[in-house]
Amino acid sequence: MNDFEQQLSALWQTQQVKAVDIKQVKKRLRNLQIKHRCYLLLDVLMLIPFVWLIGWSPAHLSTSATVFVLLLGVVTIGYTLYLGWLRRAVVLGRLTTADHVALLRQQLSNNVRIARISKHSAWLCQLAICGFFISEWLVEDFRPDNLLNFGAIMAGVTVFNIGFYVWAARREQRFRAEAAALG
Amino acid sequence: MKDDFEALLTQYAPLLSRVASGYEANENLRDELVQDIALAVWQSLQRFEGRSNLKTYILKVAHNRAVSHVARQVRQPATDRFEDEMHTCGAADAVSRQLEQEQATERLLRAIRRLPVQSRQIVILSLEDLSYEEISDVCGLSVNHIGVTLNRARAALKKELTNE
Repeated sequence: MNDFEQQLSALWQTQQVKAVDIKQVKKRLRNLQIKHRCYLLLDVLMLIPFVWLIGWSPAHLSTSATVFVLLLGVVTIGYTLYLGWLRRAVVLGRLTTADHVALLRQQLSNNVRIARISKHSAWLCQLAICGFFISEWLVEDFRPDNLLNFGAIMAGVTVFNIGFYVWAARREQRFRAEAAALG
Repeated sequence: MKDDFEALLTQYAPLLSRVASGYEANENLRDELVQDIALAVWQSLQRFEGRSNLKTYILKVAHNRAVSHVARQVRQPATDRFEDEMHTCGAADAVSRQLEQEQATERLLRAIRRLPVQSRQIVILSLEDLSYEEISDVCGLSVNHIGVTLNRARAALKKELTNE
């Protein structure tokens, strides 16, 4: 080790350090565990309506309704298992930093994709609604009060879609910046 | 077991604090980062299988958590400049050796934080006296890569610190 390296090392080791607030760490850990258990409970509770509908409901379900409920139940169980898998604790100590950064980049890239799809879905949705109203206007004979109602609905939907577009665009930019910060 | 974790966290707290200072300039955010790292270390210790050195394992967890922090902090406005000014104002009155030492440490920390994330991590691990093999285990890079990056980073630090 040369003089410069020794100097750096001495400076580094003598810097002022902060103590860890163990009480707060334990409190946060307990809160995380409670939150995790609540999520699990919610996942299990989601299944109760299906079990009740099929097993104990006084109303007799037709065959097609039973099949529909069963299918919905299967999808819900699959989704619950998937959510449980996503919520599994990631053990940071098992990943090298290179792997961890690769995982973060992958997650951020997925988030960018989701945000971009959401952003474009806003104007596509607006276009589809406009198309629907135009086709209705061409086919139907609109009365003035009907036109007013449609106008109010269109204005509301437009405001919502503009807000949604801006929100999604900001999310996309933020996720891109986060990925860039990783170098 | 909980008592063991508490004792370990107390023992390694200075190490965790030094890691946090290499990634966050703002004092409040740095305190938060130290707590976040401590939480991550506690959670990860429950799954420590003893395959590697404990210090290396803790440093791996700490750096991974700090890297996530770096990515998330792009949402916050940068506060480094403000802190620099604060230190410069204080420097006019600083006469004691203690203050000089603190300023030198602050200059070093600023220079380290300017390095790219990967170089920064390698420099910090080297300053914590880890061998090239141990740094390679934490970072997931080859020993050669570590050597080259560390030399370049040290040269950059030297240039920056002598220019100030």
